[in-house]
Amino acid sequence: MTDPIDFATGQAGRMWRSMGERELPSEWRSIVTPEFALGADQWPPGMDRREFLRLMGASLALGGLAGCTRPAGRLVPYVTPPEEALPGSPEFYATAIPIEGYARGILVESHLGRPTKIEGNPDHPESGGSTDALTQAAILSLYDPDRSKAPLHRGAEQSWEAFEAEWRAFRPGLLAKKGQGLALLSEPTTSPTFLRQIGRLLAAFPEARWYQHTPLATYGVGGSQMDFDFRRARVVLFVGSDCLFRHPACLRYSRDFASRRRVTGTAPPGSRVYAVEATPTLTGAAADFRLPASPNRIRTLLDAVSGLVDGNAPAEGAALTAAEYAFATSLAHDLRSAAPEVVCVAGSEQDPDVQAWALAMNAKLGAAGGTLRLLPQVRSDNDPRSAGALDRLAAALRADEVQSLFVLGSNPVYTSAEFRGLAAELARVPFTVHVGSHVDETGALCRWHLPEAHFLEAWDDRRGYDGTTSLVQPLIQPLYEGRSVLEVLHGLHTDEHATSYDLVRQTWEAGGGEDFEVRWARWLREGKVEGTQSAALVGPSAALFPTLSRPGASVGLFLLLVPDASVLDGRWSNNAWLQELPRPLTQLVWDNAALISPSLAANLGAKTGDMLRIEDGSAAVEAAAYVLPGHGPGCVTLSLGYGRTRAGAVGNGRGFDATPIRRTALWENPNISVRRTGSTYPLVTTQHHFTMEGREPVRLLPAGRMLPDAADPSVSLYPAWKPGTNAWGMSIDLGTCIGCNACVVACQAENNTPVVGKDQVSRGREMHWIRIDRYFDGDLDAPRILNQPIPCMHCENAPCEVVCPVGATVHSSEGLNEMVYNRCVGTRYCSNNCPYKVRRFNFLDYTDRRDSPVNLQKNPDVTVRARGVMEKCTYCVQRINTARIDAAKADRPIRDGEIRTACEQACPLGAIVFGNVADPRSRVAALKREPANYSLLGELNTRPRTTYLARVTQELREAPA
Amino acid sequence: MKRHEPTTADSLEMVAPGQTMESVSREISAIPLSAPHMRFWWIGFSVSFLAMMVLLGSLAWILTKGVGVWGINIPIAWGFAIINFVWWIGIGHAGTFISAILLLLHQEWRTSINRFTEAMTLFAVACAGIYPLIHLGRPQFFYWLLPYPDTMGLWPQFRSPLVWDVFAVSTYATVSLLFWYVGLLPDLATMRDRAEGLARRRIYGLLSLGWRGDGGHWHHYRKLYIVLAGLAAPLVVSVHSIVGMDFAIAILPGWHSAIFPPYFVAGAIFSGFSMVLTLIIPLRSVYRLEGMITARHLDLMAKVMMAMGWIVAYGYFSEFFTAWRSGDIFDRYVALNRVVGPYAPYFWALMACNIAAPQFLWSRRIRQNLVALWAVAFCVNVGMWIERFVIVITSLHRDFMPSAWGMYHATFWDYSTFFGTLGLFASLLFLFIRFLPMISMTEMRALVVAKQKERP
Amino acid sequence: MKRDLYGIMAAFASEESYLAALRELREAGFRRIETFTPYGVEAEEAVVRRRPTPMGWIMLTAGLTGGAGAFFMQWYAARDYRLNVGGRPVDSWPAFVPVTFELTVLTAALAGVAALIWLSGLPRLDHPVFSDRRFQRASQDRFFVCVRADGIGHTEGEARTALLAAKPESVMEVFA
Repeated sequence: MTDPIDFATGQAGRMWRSMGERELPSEWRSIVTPEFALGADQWPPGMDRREFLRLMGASLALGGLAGCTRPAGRLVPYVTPPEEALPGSPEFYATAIPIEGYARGILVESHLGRPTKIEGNPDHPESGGSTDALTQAAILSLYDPDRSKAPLHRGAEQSWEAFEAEWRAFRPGLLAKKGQGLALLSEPTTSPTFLRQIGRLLAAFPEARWYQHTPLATYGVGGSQMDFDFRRARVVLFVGSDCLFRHPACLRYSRDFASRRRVTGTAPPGSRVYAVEATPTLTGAAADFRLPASPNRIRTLLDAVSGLVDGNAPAEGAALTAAEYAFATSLAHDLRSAAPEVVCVAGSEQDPDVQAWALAMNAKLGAAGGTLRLLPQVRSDNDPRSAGALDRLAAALRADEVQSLFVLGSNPVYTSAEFRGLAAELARVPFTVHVGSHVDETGALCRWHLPEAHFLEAWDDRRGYDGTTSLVQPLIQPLYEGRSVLEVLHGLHTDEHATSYDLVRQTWEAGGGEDFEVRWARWLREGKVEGTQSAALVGPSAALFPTLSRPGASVGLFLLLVPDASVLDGRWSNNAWLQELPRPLTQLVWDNAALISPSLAANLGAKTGDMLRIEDGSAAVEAAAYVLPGHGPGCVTLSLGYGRTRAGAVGNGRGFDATPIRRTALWENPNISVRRTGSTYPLVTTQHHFTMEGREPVRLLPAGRMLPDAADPSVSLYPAWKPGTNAWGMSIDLGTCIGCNACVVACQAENNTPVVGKDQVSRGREMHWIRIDRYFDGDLDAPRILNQPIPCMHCENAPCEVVCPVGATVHSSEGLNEMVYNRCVGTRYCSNNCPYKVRRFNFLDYTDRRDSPVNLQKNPDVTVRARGVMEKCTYCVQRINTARIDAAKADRPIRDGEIRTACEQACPLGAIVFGNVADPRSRVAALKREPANYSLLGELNTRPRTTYLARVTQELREAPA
Repeated sequence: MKRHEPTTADSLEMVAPGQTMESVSREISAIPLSAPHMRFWWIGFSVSFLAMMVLLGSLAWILTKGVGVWGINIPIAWGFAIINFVWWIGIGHAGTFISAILLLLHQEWRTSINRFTEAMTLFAVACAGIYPLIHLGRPQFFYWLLPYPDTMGLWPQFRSPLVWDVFAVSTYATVSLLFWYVGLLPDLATMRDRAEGLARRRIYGLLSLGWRGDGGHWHHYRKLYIVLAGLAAPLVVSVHSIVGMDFAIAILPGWHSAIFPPYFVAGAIFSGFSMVLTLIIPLRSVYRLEGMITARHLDLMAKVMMAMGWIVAYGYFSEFFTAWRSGDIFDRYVALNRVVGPYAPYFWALMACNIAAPQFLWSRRIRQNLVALWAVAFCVNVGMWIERFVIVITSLHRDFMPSAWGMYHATFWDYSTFFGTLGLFASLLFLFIRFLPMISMTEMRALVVAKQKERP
Repeated sequence: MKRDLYGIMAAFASEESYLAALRELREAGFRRIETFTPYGVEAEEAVVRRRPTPMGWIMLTAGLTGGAGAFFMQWYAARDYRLNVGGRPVDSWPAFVPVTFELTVLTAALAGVAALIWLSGLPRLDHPVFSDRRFQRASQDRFFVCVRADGIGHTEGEARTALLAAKPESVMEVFA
């Protein structure tokens, strides 16, 4: 093996041997043997380190011991050469997280072999160094106590051997029939190795069937996928699209989008953004002009726009309202004048004809090949080897054609209404196997359940939306007995042993080359395989606009189904961070709800919390109403992923199950009836008041205008304190922030912020150090939707400090408003006196001190707060100190951008900038010189170090006379 | 202010005719010594004692689980604990006001009520003192608010009004106790001399420190008593001013107001007098003390209460006036929110109890109708609690950032702690009535003699 | 055996007769006179000339010391552990006033009560005058005058006659 690998090996070896002396007395082994001996003799000679590390994994699982279980030494850390690694200084490994099958490049922070935090990989095009909320929360799922820990046979714990034995006994029969009756169900994937496995499997069992099922969007139109370049888009139209927030490429899109939205001086933003949508989305809220409309009106409007772009007046039939007309004419005018630098995006959940319209519009305006690229679909949705989707499998089950069924990391019994009716058919299948991280609704119905390894526990490879392939390298040995789907697939058709590592390497060794090891090491180090980006297909030439159907021609209301912002289709249901993460715009936690517009609420006589019964003739669901300003009229939005029964302790029995009323894979139900049941349900939100009361916490600045001058803060009765060499400050750009919550979860992961649960949140005790405030400005049926991240302002004249009787919160020489947990007695006066209400109090003992694997995630650089202690945003002081030490060692000043707070690092739009305001050359100082810069509640003379850039607004174009 | 005889109530006597030195000594000391009306006492005491057990239970639970068992939250981080603290401290102001300030003003009608009100003060302060301790997130570290030689060289943060509070309340408690005890010394001697049974004589004797009414003792005593009164008078004012500053120092709209210190003091005396009346009216009837706590006393206390009521009313008014006059949108919102916001019912109840109800006292007939007077006094007690609720809760629940607005929902433990302290207060009062003279015999003797001289 | 005499004591029923007796005794030249009354009789001061009580001065000194100490403590605390608290200056003296005042009052009061006990020679649970049961009324409704036996230049007999001249309720011998 070549150098870097040896380094790594040696490194790993050194680490675990020292652990070994402490951890491997024989009686200890005997404790763990019954559970883990089977894993031990699995490994061929020479791999006994893995055996040991597997035991270490057990010790973690048993003891919650914060020790290290560094996996086999073939990992290559990112940037930091291993020999420099010291205990106490974290290492970062490049890998990738699969979300809906697509890869996002990430760096995982590892403390002595214990992954604690996920950051974006700057070298990865689909990350660019940033992350979204899901990626940030993924680390918690690794330590989820409810993960399945061992194979289950009809619910009873069993060994992998037992399973393998049973399968080997079953297999010859299959082989005889060329695998007829063998059915695999997986989610569409981008993993080359997985697909290679499928290929080999189908070679061994030609008659076997491989079905694919995802309850979420396919992100493709007719075998290809649209990819946009927002960096060059001067005019953007979002049609019911949330592609800045929820899309395989949302991080890249956000980054590109923001690059044109940032304003300097009094210039207008570099793009004019239109959005028309029924369900309010963050993407729509980020638009300059947002038009809420029912799906039918959307189509009418699109017809009008295509007509106007062609130069025709809107068709007679389509009577546009004044608002719609103004919107359409201005949009058409902008589209034509800006062509070809335009982008029209139809939401992934929109009907095909709407997507076709967007494609045609882009093509017509000449965007194809420029701002629009058509890419071959990287995910296997349309793989020719696939036997189709869930309905085909259901048919096969009904016809008793299935002898053995393998469900690989999919949960159709929850996500598909049709499949829920198939319990009897499933029971008739002789050999059913479920591979998954939890014993979920599907796993409960299968003969066998096999624990699936977390993506940080096993090797894999995935492709990003743009095709870039990443090797997924594990950070830790499986905590429990989980194995990767690759290993299971491999075991189906052969007895020869191979680990996920071997399988992934085999895939890439095929390329061969004598310098393979070197390239392999580089791929691991950089977190991507070079030259794997998809080449663009030939764009569509000027296409004709499709005729847009009117699905809701009938009188009924629309039901719009959407993936939940936190749990998607339920796959994140057991992640407490995501459950307690306030949903965008609604600020709901721990539940989903039926979103309706104020006008519809008035018609129904319903208010937030009233239970609604939603029927479509054949099926019905009940859900609590949530009145959301800006929601399209005449429709109800219900998110998927709730009403889980077997998600785990965190996710069970929360919210309302939308599946029963969902026609397979459809997002719109055009003809439903809604009525109040009369009962109510306690919905819990972290914000209760959504209007600004004329106080303008969020400043809106018409393009070309200046903010009114604030009073000169330097005027003071008091002599000023001598400023230190560093004066930390932050600038938050409300023009680019879309309110995606990535910063909130990043902060939670970095700062060991506890989760308090629905009841405590309902009492107003959520603990997030940074929150995103939402305001609805103007007419509540079509308001401007504003987002505002609120961390601690670190006021120079901090009101909280003066009233603390014990000096537990004081100022540092660098201007940090410091919170001294050890000194705090908990009078809570500081919180009362904080005008921004950013302080959080441990009313009860919120941090689970028992041996829970969850505690393994804790950041060792941050104190875990005790009961009765106040806490709040520290500007990530631990990161500041790390940088200060590094700078001191190198005898240099701290560089601008060297310190990045967790929120700043996560932010996909670069809306948060942290730095030294005392250094006029720093980015943050420059931003604070911008005319749009303002202090929140500056009139109180608190002199916040966190300041905001006002959101610059634009005007609709007058209709050409 | 020079001494004067009230004109409205000339017919009302300060001491019933026929009272002599001997009779007052006998009648007053009889209550602890021969313990009349034990049925009343036992019933009252056992009920209060049970309530006190509720307090102990609540404290145990709070200390086990943390202050989270209350309804407090962010933004409303202060709740019942602070409301009750201010309420009790306020009640604790009547005693020292009556015994000190009225002494300096030569209001001799204080004589027959000062002992009782001082006792009431002490017990109220005892109840109040519980709250700042248990409302801490980490009560085990309460002593960090005290200046002591800390190995880390740490000190309290003396700019915080909460530290001022620690000093003000502890000073007030101590000085009130001393004042009360000094006043008790000669009476304890009387008790010693009147008590039957060696044990009692010994106990009272010990407590009286062997007081024998020596002219030399009286010589120092008079000076000490008058100077203590002189010190206690500004102390009373300072204590509730500082409690007022607990709020006024904050930048919170609805708290940050210069009127708070004086208006809190007035409110305190207001509530103090109302509590005195609430307790005295039944007690004097039960223990037949009409001869010493005459209708005249009640009449005068009612007038003081009404006067204080008007000062408090002015405080309310000025809050709204400054809110309007300042033009500050936050202040204006808080003012408006109090009147029509979600907590408006509390505000209007406050107006009814603290401003409307006392107006009945203009009528002399009502002032002399025990039931009516008691009812008004009780209203004011309730009203003053609601006042603190309005100040604490409605200011916090909607301050600067609309996004952070919230509501306060009191829990069972909020109420149980409150009722528990009522139990503690009552228990202490019953013990006091049972074992100590509730009227100063010494001063009554002097008064009786003085009155005899005055009479033709 | 003969116990040595502490003094001759007489009880009077009213403040007037008691004051009269005092005056006569003074005129008769008696100096070592002790009085015991059920309440402080201010008029007595004029008759029995006592040294002005130091009480006032004691409390003033104590109070000033306590106040100064309090202010110094806060001033020192602000410097000893120099912290930037909300951008306020280190010696923000107005914030130190309340504690200063409170400690002034506290120390003065404590000193005052201590002084009373000290100056009155209390606690003293046994005293010759207690030996006579009639003295119990000194704390209730009788005024007592006691002429100390070692009255300079007067005999026991002279004292007794002088007291009887004032028509007391009763006269009694008090033995040490």
